[in-house]
Amino acid sequence: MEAIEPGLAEVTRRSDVDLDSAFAAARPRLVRIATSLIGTDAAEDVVQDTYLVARERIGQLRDAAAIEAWLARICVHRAFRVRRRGRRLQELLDVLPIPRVTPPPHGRLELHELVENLPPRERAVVVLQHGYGYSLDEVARLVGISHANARKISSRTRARLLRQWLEAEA
Amino acid sequence: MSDCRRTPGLVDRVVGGRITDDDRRHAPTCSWCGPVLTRANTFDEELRRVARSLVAEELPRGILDQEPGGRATGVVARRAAPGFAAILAAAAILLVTTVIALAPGTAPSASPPPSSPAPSSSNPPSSTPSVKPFVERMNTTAFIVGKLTASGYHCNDGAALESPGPGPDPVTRESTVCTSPEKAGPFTLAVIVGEAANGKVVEVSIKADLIADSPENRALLAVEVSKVLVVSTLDEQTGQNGGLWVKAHLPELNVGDQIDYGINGMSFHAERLPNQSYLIVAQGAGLT
Repeated sequence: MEAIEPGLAEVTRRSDVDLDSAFAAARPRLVRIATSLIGTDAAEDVVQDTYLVARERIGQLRDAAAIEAWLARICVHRAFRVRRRGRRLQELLDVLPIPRVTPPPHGRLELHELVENLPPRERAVVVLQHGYGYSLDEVARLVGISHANARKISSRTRARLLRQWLEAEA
Repeated sequence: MSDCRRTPGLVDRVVGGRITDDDRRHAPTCSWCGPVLTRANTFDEELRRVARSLVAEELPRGILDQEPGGRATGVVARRAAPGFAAILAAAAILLVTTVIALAPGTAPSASPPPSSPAPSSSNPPSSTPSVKPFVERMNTTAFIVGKLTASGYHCNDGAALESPGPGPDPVTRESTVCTSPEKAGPFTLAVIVGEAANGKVVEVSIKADLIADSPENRALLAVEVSKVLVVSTLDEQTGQNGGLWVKAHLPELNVGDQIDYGINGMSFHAERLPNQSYLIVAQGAGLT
């Protein structure tokens, strides 16, 4: 273990801002951002992951005054990718299927439920685009994908939601 | 369900943006199709309203202004997992291996394979972004295959990684999938090597399963995993540090535990999955 610790210590020494204090101050906001994007279940995980990534990359922060925006950007990026492996394993193992929304026996299925039950990746794009009002270009930059990819996710998700919503009516 | 034969087709046409004049003429006269068209017309507005209602916190001003060093594409590390096709192939190989191991007369003391797996919902290691200049930190596929086959591993060509399109993830293909020999120990390992578009190895994922779970076997597994990490890492000292880290911590992991370690641009991730399997990921792409 002695050979390992210096590496970790080095990472910490590179930090020229008080990441822990900044993170502690930003944490409630980050939790709310993550909750907005992917829901409450995974929000805490995303925020913890945000801290780990930030600690690892603190040396890349150019402007210490912008640390909250920097943390938020990491948070958005991580939220977009949360459960990606989980989904793949679900597909692989076919044990716990991705939650599917089925119309309730009585009453119409509300669009709110459909959006809330989207996979994190799709839900994040929907909320960033339609909730926050970012353009697809901006969404793509925020989550770190190409414009074409963002457009594809957006259009597929819209079609999927529209179909489910209309079929619930029909 | 709708009593009108046109309704299912109408939904398809609405979703596909192919509403016909016949649909428009029919809808006002049909108690099933009429509401569908009415609802479709309000969809975008309703979607905005719903999405807005989910926003619990505004994003900080200037979030888009971060430079690559601090912006998400620069800070978010690590790729989530081996490509689905490759992990499927690895799982199939492991399944066959396990079945053979559990067959009567071959491994009477083996415990049944883990069951009731559940997906991890926390902290997946995610994508390694494309950061220039590329820094090579991992050995080549040929080198890794050579070392592993010398230890008795069986290596196949990896399946192409399914990709939704251009993105920050530099892994474009799994160049090989290697499975451990029976003699390696009381476990099965599937080693998946991921290459970037430039043909350089940027990620090695290891899925490991114990034949029988015990502290001793966990320690043996950790030793084997550490060997693979050393073989995979270009800088020997860095690889040894990664190996030491795995040997120290892998045996202690409980289901749901996830740990990360970074040194000299390499990142190592290990976790124990809900199905008792272990997933270890070493990445070295673009971490300047």
